[in-house]
Amino acid sequence: MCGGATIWLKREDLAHTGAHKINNAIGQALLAKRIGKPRIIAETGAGQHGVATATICAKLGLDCTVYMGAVDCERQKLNVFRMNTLGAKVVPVNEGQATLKDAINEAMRDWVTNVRDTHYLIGSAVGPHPFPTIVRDFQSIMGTEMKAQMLDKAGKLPDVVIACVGGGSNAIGAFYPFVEDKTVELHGVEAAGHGIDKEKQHCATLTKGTPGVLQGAMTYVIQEESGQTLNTHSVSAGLDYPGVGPEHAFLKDSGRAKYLAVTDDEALEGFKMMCEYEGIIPALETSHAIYYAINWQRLCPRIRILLST
Amino acid sequence: MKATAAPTNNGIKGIEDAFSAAKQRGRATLIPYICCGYDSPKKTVDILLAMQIGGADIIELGVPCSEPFADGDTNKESHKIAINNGTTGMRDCLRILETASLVEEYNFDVDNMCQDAAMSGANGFLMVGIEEGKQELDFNSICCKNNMSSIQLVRPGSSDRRIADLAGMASSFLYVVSSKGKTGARNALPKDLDDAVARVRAKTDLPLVVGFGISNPEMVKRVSNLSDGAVVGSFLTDCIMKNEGKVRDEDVILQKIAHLHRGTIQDIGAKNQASKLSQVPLHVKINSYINKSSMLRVRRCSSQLFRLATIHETVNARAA
Repeated sequence: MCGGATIWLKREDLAHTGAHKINNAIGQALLAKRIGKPRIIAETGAGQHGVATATICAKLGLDCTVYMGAVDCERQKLNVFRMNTLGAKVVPVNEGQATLKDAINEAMRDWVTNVRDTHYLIGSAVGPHPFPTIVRDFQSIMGTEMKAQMLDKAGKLPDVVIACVGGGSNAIGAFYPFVEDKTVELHGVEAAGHGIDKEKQHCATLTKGTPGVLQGAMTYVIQEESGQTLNTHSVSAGLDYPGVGPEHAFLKDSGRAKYLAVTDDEALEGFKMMCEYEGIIPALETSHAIYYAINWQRLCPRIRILLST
Repeated sequence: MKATAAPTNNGIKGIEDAFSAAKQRGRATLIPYICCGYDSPKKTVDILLAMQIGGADIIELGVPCSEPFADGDTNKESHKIAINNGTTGMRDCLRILETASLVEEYNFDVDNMCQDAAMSGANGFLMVGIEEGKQELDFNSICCKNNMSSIQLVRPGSSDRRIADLAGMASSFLYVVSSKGKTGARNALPKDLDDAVARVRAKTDLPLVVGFGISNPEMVKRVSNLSDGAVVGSFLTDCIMKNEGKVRDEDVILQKIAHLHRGTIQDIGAKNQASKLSQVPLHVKINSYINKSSMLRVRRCSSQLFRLATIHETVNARAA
């Protein structure tokens, strides 16, 4: 089916709480403890980062508040339940589109008000410096492990590393340790929603956005000419964001990484294939990368692909 | 509509004059804020005129922004309404401000923007969301080159070192944020406000104005006695939002400004007064530029009608 090529999966879904988000949550929670901040706030899209944050806060005895778009609360109900169970307070955000971007705005408002005792445990590689680099560093454990495991199992580096990009924490963590390995191609997969040609119906920031400032970082942004942010859409809450981590903007502009977009329907096809052929139920976010990897591999057989889930 | 003549502009001097005039009368300055285009383009013009007649020394005018994450509920709402009613960018704001005068085709290149703003009578900008370091210094340089004031915001958590840097970058005055958190009317000012202002005063002789949360003449009075001016924003927008329509919005504003204005008279023993009214900023490189593809959120000032009105917005820089 895949033209004889090999796809390796980096199974971050098997990490505690079910996503790579825990890598960063533990790191930043320890940081907060070290600098003496007893209260943690976080934003979440799909709810994975919220659950990871709630988990580590329970473990370390930190007070935890999670901002989540009201629309996302509805479509990711189970994660709201998990966060509440873990003792976190989930605050639904009704502003704007009531998705990830608005949850970040609300968390920022909380943070500027309570900065003395509060650490904003940001979940994606976005926001003001040094957040994008903090998140990258904690998440780059993924790429570091991928590299070691590939050398161990396959004897050489992969030809391509593929990861989905919303804010971009998963992708930057996977890409970063490979940036200097010029033989390894880096491909980021964005969400094209109903199609990148339909305004307000996608969130393919790097494909369709223009340079701008959003939430404290200069990066690509899906925006009007006047600079107001446009609405976005994706079937997956975790990718539904009009900005992207600034280091992805740099990797795109420098040509080191390629970014492409996959629609909702295609992602669902990837999801189905992974379930039916491998017995793995992937996240909708990852499904974008899965579809892309399978499709791309049909064109380029006999390569080793490493897919970060 | 094409104007017959461009309004005259005296740049930083305009701000200096406002502080100097207030000083001569033993007063602090009163600086009302409103979001441009709230709740309609036409209404903004009437409100700005009412502010001026009511006694405003300087007017701060916000360019609506879809992600105002340092703003409280009131300002957030006014930004949203302004955008929904058609004021989305700098071009729209220019149109509103200059109603019957010139509207230039606009390139969102910062140098051009400064020149256009100067042409149309602006005195300065208040930038929010600009990056510390190179970006803010570049912006400062361009403002300076165009005789525009770049107004620095001093936040309560700022270190002494940061305050010194901001003071070095200032050309006309500094804006001291009264308390932590987002914008919005509050019931009381923080107890340690005296210390906060004194801490900034220790680093600069320029005028200091205080904003965030000021909502009655008593608060204006307290601020006037420990600085050179008071900024009032959300309170005024609240008044418009609560207005049930028996009185025109601009009349409500006129009355409120006149009322607040009473608080600007300084008592004997008022502290922290400015001893100089302008300076050439440090670290200015006249030939530096901001990357054309960069994007800045800018508050623009216009002084022709309003002495000084500042606007903030996301300027999407596109090469000409």
